[in-house]
Amino acid sequence: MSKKNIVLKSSNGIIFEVEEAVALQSETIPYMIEDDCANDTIPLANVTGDILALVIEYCKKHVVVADGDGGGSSSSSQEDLKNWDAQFMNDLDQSKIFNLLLAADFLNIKTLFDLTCQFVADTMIKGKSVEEVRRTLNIEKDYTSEEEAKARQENEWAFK
Amino acid sequence: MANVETVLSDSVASRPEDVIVDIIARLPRCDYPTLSLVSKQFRSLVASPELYVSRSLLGCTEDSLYNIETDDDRWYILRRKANGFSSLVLISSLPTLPSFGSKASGSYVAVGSRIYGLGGIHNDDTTMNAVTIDCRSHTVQPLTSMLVHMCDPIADIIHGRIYVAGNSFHDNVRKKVMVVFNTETQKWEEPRIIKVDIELGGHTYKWNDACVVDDVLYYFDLAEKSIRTYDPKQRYWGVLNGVEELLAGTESCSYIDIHSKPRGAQMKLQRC
Repeated sequence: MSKKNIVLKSSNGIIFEVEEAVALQSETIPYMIEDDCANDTIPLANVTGDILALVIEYCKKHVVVADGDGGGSSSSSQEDLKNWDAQFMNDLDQSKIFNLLLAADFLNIKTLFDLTCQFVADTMIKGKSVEEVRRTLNIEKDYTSEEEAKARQENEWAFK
Repeated sequence: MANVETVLSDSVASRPEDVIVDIIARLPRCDYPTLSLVSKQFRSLVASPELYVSRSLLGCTEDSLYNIETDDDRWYILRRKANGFSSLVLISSLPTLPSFGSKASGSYVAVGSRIYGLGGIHNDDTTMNAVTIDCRSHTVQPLTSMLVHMCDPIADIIHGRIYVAGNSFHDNVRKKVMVVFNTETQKWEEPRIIKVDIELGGHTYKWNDACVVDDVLYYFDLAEKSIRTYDPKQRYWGVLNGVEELLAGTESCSYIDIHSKPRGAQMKLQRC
């Protein structure tokens, strides 16, 4: 049985051919298909090849479960999927995580966007000190000592 | 190392700040004070209304416990620590407000992320003041005046409206009055001051035995053993007829209000 394939092209010119169901987890791609029906290759000028490969890996994993499940005993496969998601994110370095987050936002893949946002929140910010958050996210301190003291005073209750 | 703001702003994602809001919205609120010290941008994001809209949409809202101390009329918040210990800590940004102390008894109603403070005693006199506390920023904003001095008010939110009833003293004569605040329009309802001829529920500070069905307020008047009604269209209090026998031995009355069937409210009478 032949399935319709969609060809995606990354910003650095790498071509990926995927099944339609995989690509259509993105809510942005259908609009691109409509806009660009003459040519079957969809250019994604904002996503590099290595990140697009990750996006496709994620979408392939998630499309399989959605197909094979049939809405029945989903709890075990949902559990498997959760474990897979955790492992998938844990294997990535910080730069890849941020770029994946942006790709998920641009391609409008809601579950991947939720996953990456939650991962950044839980692993890079939650429960960390001010200095740790600055260091992890590489954010420059732009407060003067007076401004910092004032901000601290506003939230004094939280630091006791 | 990648810089989150550089990566985010260099990229296509047209609204990188929105992405940061989406991340922050998924964090517990106890992390927000720390985040607001990270940078000016984070501070303004933590205080932004958009963040709290995101939290609502994501279902990430949290309950907080606030307490106004009768000793010093100051507000405290319950701080739950990661190690399981909890303590009440002073919120220094909030001023003194009338508490439920022996003489100064304002009434407070929590609605969403706001607490409404109504009446009470301030500077040794009953006050017409009404305020709203924004629990996100821990700041107080005044509401337009209640137009009536009220002490020992009872107040509660019923179907989006806050019903405040209490005693008003004028020329040493005690009058019972009620005002109604619509939390959706943020305005007091007309008529502004409603005369009340019901016996108010003592020192409970809440409408224990009341509900609203089709805009009509029903209140169980223990002293009179009757169900009083207030109809805002007709602007007066009435008595629900035909239930006298049923109410004769009743000490309290609870209403089961079925929101999905506005006309299907039931009353449950408890006989003691």
